[in-house]
This record gives sequence, C-alpha cells and structure tokens, in this order.
Amino acid sequence: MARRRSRRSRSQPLDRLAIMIIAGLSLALGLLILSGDHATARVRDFTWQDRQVGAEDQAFLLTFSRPMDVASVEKNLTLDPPLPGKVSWAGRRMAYTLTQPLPYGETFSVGLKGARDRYAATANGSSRFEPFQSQFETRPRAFLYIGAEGDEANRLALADLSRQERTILTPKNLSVMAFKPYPLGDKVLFSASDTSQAGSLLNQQIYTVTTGLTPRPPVDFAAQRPPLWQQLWPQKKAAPSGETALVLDNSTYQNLKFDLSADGQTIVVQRVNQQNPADFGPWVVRQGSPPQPIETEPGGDFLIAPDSQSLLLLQGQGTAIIDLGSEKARGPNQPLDFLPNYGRVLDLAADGSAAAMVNFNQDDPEKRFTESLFLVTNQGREEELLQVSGAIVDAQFDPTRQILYVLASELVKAPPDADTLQSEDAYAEQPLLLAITLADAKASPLLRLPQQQRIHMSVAPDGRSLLIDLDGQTTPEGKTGAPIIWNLPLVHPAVSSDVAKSAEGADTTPSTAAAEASNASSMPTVTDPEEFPFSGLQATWLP
Amino acid sequence: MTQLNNGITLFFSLLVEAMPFLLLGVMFSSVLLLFVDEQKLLAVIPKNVVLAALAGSLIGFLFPVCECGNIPVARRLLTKGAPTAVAIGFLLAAPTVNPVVFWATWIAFRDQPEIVFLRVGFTLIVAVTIALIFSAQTDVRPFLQDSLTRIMGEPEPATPVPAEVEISPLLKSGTFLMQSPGQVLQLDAPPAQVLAQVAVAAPPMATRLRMMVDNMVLELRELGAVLVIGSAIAAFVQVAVPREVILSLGQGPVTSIVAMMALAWVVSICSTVDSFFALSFASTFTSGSLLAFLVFGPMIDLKNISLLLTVFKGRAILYLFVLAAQLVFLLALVMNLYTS
Repeated sequence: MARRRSRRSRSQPLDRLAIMIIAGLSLALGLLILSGDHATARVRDFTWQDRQVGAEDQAFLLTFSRPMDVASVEKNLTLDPPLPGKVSWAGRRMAYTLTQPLPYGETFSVGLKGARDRYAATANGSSRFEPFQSQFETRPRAFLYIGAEGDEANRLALADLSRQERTILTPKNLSVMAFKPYPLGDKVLFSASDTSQAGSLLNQQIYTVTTGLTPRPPVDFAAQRPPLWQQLWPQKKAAPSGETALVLDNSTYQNLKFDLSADGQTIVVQRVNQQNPADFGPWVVRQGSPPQPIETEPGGDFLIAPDSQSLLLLQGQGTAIIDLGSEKARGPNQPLDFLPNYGRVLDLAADGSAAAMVNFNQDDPEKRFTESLFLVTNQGREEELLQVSGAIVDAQFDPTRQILYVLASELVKAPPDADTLQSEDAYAEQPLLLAITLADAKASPLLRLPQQQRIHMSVAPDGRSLLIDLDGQTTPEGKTGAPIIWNLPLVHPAVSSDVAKSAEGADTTPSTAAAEASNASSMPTVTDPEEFPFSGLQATWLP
Repeated sequence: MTQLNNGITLFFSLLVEAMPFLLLGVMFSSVLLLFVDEQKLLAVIPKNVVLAALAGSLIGFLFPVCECGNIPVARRLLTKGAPTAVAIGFLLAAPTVNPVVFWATWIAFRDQPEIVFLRVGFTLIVAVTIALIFSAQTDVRPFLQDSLTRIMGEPEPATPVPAEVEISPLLKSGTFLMQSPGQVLQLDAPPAQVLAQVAVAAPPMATRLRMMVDNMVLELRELGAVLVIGSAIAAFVQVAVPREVILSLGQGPVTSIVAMMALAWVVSICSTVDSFFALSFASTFTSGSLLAFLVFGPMIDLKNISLLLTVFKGRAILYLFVLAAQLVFLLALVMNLYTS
C-alpha cells in the first residue's frame, strides 16, 4: 500500500514529457494564430470547364475552396458573351441557372476577379482570391437531312453551320428512310434499305452511324460518379464520321417505324413477321440484350416519353401509355394509362410535363371534320389550343416550353386551275406555321406555306431557328423540283427587338404574312428566311 | 418537455448506434484473449517504438471497430502485454484508420477526395505522436486503473530489481491458489482470464468458444453499463448546449476549427457514420474545420470518456485529450491558414 502511494505522488516520466509537449504545442498554436491568415481562396471546381454544353444543361456550378462573400462574387462574375441567369448559393457552391436556352455554336468565357472570402469580408481585410478564368462552348449548330440530289441522293448527310461544311454519313448502297440523332449528337440511328438487294424497299434494317462530332458533355453533378478506374482510364478517341453499325436486321421481321429514347438507351421498333402478318407489334431493343416484343395490344404510331421509361402508343381511337421499365416484363403489359380522346401525340416537352396531342373530334357532331390540338399536362389539365378545319400536321415545343410551334392546315377555296376540271366548291388545304404561347393559349400564324402535302419542320434546340423542308417548284411539265430546306431564324422579342422583314411570297417561298399580327409580347417572329443551296428531306437539328 | 424528449431521443440514438460496435469490440477482445497467444503477438510487433506505434495504428484494418468498440480491444492488448505504443496507437487510430470508416468517408466526400486521405493521414500523425509520448513511460501501470494492473501482473523489470521490492504477489486483495513456490494464481479473476494465465492448458475448441461467449457477456455487461452512463451524459450536454450554440461560436478560420472540435466532442457520433454528419457542414465550413471534426471526434468524445475511465486514470485521459486536441488543432490550423 505504501508503495502504491509513493508511486502516485512521484512525478512519472510521462507527466513531465506530456506537460512539456502541451506547453510547446500551446506556444506553437499561439504563434500560428498570431501569424494570420495566408490562404488564398480559389475556385475549386467549375462544372462546365472546357466542356461542350447543350440546351439540356441549364445551370453550372462553381465550387469555392472556402466560404465566400456572396455579394463580391455576384458582382465580379463575368460571362462573355453575357448570359442572363439567376445565382443561388449552397454554402461554398454557387449555381448559375440560365433563364434562356444557350445559343448554339458559340464559345463563352467565365471570369471572376477580386472576389473575397467571407472571413476577409467580415474582417474587412484585403481580397485574397486567385483570379479565375475559364471557358465553355455550346454544341455546334448542325442538322441532318436525307439528300435528294447527286451523290447525296437518299443518303444521310450532316450540315454543320458552325463550320460551314457538309458531310455524307451513310454508304451509297443504303437508301435512308428515317433517322433520329442520339442525345449527344455523336451518333444517328437510322433505318435504311440496301439497294443492292432485290425487294429492298420492304427490307429496312436499323443501323447507327457516327457523325464525327465529339461531344464533351459536362459532368452531371447530380448523377453517380463513375468508379475511379473509369475516370483514370484514357478517354476513347472520337470515331470518325460515317462508321455504320447494324442494330437490328430484318431476317424474320420487317422493321417499320422506330423511335429512340431521350437517353439514347432504348429503341422501340414496330415490327411485323415476314411470314405471319398477324405477328405485329412494337419491340424494344436495349444495349446488350436481344430485342424483345412488348406484350400489348397491337397499335399504330408511337413515341417514347422523355423520361425514357414509357411509350405512348396509339391503340384504337386513343393513346395508351405503356411502361418500358427496364426489368423484363413477363405476360401482357397493362397500359399505365389510357387517353381515349387523343388519336395522336405530336410532341412531349423535354421535362415530360406536357404533351401536344390531337383530338380528331369524332364524338362531337358540331366539330365533325375538324381537328383540335390539345395541351395535356402531367397534372391532368387538358386545354384546347387550336381547332382547324384541315389537319394538324406537326407540333413541337420550344426549349423554354413557353411556345408551341404548329404546322396545321385550313381548308380554303381551291384556286381556279385552267387545266383540270373542278367542281364549284373545290377546297384545298392551306398549310400554316403557327406559334402558340402556352401561358395564354394565344395562337398567331407566323407563315403561310405553299399548298402541298409533305412539309417537315424542326425547331432548333436553342429555340432560335426553325428548319422547314418543302417540295420544290413544280415545273411546267408537272415534275416536282428538288426539295428545298429553309432556315427560319426566330426572333424572340425578349432577345432582340429587330423588326421583322417580310419576304416576297412566291409559290415555294414562305411569306411572313402575319408577322405584324404577332405583336404579342412573347411571340417570336420569323425574319429573313434563308434557303440552303442544297436540297434534302427531313431536315432535323442535332440536339 | 420537448427538451426531455430530445434528450431521450439523443440518448437512445447514441446507445443504439454504439452498442453493436461495442459488441464487436468485446468480441474481438475475447478472441484476442482466448485464441491469440501473447508470445506470438509480441513476436510480431516491431521492436522499434515508432514502428510499434504505427503498427498499433494500423491494427484497425484487422479489427474494424469504432471509438466505443476499440476500448475493450485496447484494454486487452494492454493486459496481453503489448507495448504501450501499440495500445495507444490502436486506441486513437483504429476508429478512423479502418476499411469501414474509409469507405464511408469516401462515399460522403467523393467530390473532395483529399478529405478522405487527409483524415487518415492526420489521424496517423496524431496517433503515432501521442503513442510515442506515452511510450516514454516504460511502466505505464501508474496511469492505468487498479483493476487492470491487477490482471496485468508485474512486468519483467528492465533493471535488476532492488531486493526490497521483491514482494509476494499475494500482497494484494483477492483469492489465490498457491501452485509451486512463487507461482500464484488469482482465483477471483474471471474464469477465462484465469485460463489465459494458465497458458499450458489448452482446452478443447468447444470449451474455448463457450468461455469466449462468457467473457463477451462479462465485458459487455461491464462496458455496456458504462456506455449507458456516457451516452446519458452526452445526451444531457447536447440538450443543455444545443448544436447551434456551438456552431455559432465561430465562423472564422480559427474559431470554426474550435467550433467543429467542440461539436465533435459533444455529439459523440460514431466514427462509422460521422462523415455523413460532417457532410452537412461541408458547404459552410473550410476543409480544415471538417478535418478537425473528422479526426478529433473518433479519438475522444464525451461518450467514450466514461469507457476510457475503465482503462486509464483521469490524469492519462487528460493527457490524451489535451494532446489530441492540440495536435488536431495545429494540423487543421495549418490547413486553414496556409492552404485553401
């Protein structure tokens, strides 16, 4: 007992050493604190650094190395050319959300100088901030079309407006029927028949072809990061343009129509058995798994919803919404929903919040022989936007989802034609291009188009122009000329207050007949339609 | 009333979070007791003090325990005669330097990967430094609780012991069995520990497993009770001093470190999940302050001080606490003031 007490009272080596070190550390800490703050705040991460962004990218993030003085950052942040947007903060992260779609084919520089961190701001100290300078670019302005003349005939071609060049993508022996670009524009899915084989027109196969464009999309900060080894793995080199690959052959089934999902992972193809025409219906093709039929009632036209998870399929008189869920479904798929009134879906807003659908007005005797365009939202609201006596050909949402561009026709009295016999009340369909503001459902015609059946329209992903292709002028011998592609720049009053100029209205020239009528505040106008020096069909902007 | 509710919620959440890890620690401790031969263990451990401290810090990779589970293991290491450097290194580093915590931190701080590596690096620096300081004491028993020193027995003296020090091992309380002259077996120690001292007799596996379970129950009852008290104290302090008050202490480059360390000490959150807790502060605090939270929290907190008291005397805990706090503060301060 006596020994233990003596051990406790005696100072141990650990006591001495610990007290010495504690004293030393206290001194070091004091000196360190007195020496002051030497750190320089900087931008740690910029999500769009040297990236190529598209219309679906709406915000970039700047992550700082320490908490920043919000006001000094917002005041000193520069974007050249300027892009309107909103700033929001979450701690050390700043998000800049654009209020308007990015114009394509441009390079933007982002700079931040003279910002202060929060510590310097509260202490009213000097700014210790590493100046930040970076840039990003938007995707090129480019569109795809099926060539009509010469070498390009029936081949898929890419017109890059930013670089002023045209490339033929598909080989000569493939006659392209339809195509759909992949979401990043690096590949195109297309259906074509091999002209070197007999009976080729019915024998469409589905292929992909590379466009030669190298997408450098920004890293999605919300998504899961790829594993470390994938980040360190050298990036694949971009494939040169024109590399085709077969996706779906026609050995047992004929391929009729196809659609590609917005994420580029799922293809839906309408197929019919070569031997048994009753074996008919949509099939789903996914990367790395064999094509599978979707067990459902046979249907007609279809569209994959922007969430890539459901299919809108025309069945009977209405539209069924069918789950495309990635697990392999066994047994017949019950539709998730059925919209009995709508016989056609023209377009879906990119966020899936609304759809433009056509009601053929079969149930209402007063509206017989008219078609109505409806806006159907995912909140269950159904609003009639337009009723026409002719047909509603196409409708596409503007990227801001504020405007719907519509191709529709009205019945008009046919112009007298000296050469043919005509009844007294002969009617013809007059196609019109309209813009409808979705906020107040106000429709205003933009252009009166020549009277012809086949008109194709494509709204640019940045909403700043519209492509229309029309059949060429009819020659005196009755031959139709090569189809013409028109570029219609759209001027949004909010963006520019340019006065619309009207073009002379020949037969195949669109006329800005109603440009003056569209003086509604947010209604775009068409200025200076431009005819491309080459001809083609189905001109479609790359996303 | 709400405060009482909050307190009870906090108390039970701390307890539920810590208990599985305490159980795991007790299990590892019992395995060490019955299945690991101390001679072999001592042979594996490096003789160099620095290497021993480092080895102790890295044992966590074998025993993934958090800061409540590591105490029974560290205690067992000490009674098995492992050098102090090993035990202290393990005590301070194992809650952080282990695969589970590394993975959890990686998931939470994937966009700041330097946090993950600096967390491990800082922990190793602090743990090895303190282990070295403690190894200055060759005989660490004055700093250990009496119940522990009794089990440990006398170390082999490094220098020839003066004759008068030769006292009978019977000169302490307890029941003893005299085997042969000079060989004494304490009988009122737990049976498994008695068995461990009689290294010659290696009972069959089934008996050993049963003894392991017995020892687990024994240790869990002892440490579990202490953990309940520790959790209750931590819950009480958190109700009395809300987190907001601690966080409002500082937003500057220096005071934010103090605030985060105080928060880590008070909330006593388990090291396996604390990175997710810290993530909620990632946007408002500098990397230095976050690291201070992530490194200091697992070493010493309000809850496990009660557990530490079953091993160390108050003086040793004070040294551990002050040295760990100062070293973490120093590293975090250098980080805040000189890097970003």
